[in-house]
Amino acid sequence: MKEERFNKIVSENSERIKRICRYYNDNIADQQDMYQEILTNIWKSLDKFRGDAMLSTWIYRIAVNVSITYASKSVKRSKLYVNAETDNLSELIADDNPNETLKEEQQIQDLQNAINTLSVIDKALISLTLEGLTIKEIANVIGITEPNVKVKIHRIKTQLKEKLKDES
Amino acid sequence: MDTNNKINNELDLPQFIKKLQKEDNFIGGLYKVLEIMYLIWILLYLLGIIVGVFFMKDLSVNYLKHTCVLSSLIFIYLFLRKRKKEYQNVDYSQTTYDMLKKTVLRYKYYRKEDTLIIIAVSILFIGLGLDNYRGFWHYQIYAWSCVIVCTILGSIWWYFKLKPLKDKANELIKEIEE
Repeated sequence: MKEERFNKIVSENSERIKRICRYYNDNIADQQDMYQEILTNIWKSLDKFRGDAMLSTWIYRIAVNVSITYASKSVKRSKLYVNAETDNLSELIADDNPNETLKEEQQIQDLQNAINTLSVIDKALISLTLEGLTIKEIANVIGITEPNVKVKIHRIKTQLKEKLKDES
Repeated sequence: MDTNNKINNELDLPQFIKKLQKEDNFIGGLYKVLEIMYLIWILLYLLGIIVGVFFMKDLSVNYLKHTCVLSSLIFIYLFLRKRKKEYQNVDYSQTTYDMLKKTVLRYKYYRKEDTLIIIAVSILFIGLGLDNYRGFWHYQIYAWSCVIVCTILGSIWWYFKLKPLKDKANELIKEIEE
C-alpha cells in the first residue's frame, strides 16, 4: 500500500522535485543526491500525511526543508541556479511590466549572481516564487503569515532590482 | 531537458524502494535490539531477585535497592527509546519554521526533561550503591566520576558537532521572523 502510494506521488511530482533540485545544484551528481534525499524523506513522512495541506505544498515543504538542511551543512551547496529556461524568471524583476523578459545571457548571469548574495531563506522564497506558488502556498510551506511573505518577497525583488541596476 | 532525463534514468524506483525498506528495517532492527537488550537486563534483574527470595531463601533481600534499580532502569529505557525515535524520525514535512524550531530544541545542550534522567541515574546509583562491595560512598564517587568524564566527552562532541547546527537553525529562525 505504502509502496503504491509512494510510487504514485513520485510519478506525479517528479518534475516538481527535479526542478527544486536544479535550483540548488548545478551538477547532475548533486541534483541526484538531493533528489534521493527528498524521496527518502517523502517515504519517511508518508504515513504522517493526512491531507491537511495540498499534496504539492507538502512536497514543497519536504523539498525546501531538505535544501535548507543541505545549505546548513555545506556552504558550497547554498547557491541557487537559474537559466534562460527557468519558468517565471521575469517575475523576479518585472513587477511593473510582466511582459519584460530576461533574454540576454549576461542579464541572466547578473541575476544569478544577485540571487546568490541572498540569504538561505530568501533563496527558498525565490525558488518557490519561480515555481509559481501563490503567496498563501508559500506561507504554508515556510510557516509564516501571508502578509509576511508578501513583505519579504517585495523586499527581495527590490534588492535584486537594485543589484541588477548597479551591475548595469 | 537533458538534465531532467539524466536524473530520471539514474533512479531505478523499485530498487530505491527496496533500499528505503532496508533502511527502515535497519532502524527498526536497532530499536528491537535495544528493546530486547534492556528487557533482558530488566528480566534478569527480576529473576535474580526471585531466585534469591524464593529458592535460596535469602531473606536479607534489600527491597529499597531493587526498587531503586528496577524503576530507574525502566525509566531510563523508556526515556532513551523516546529520544532515539525523536532523532531518527525527523519530520521534513512540517513547515520550515516548525522544522527549524524543533531542530533547535533537539540540539539544545540541556533540555528541561534531562533533569528527569539525572534524577533517574541518581536513583540508580543509590540503588547500586546499597550493599555494594566498595561501600556506598566509595561507589558514588566512582559512579559519578564516570558520569562526569562521559559528560565532558559528550559536551566536546556537542560543541563541535551539534552546536553549529543549532546556531545555524537559530540564524534561519531569526531570518524568517525578521
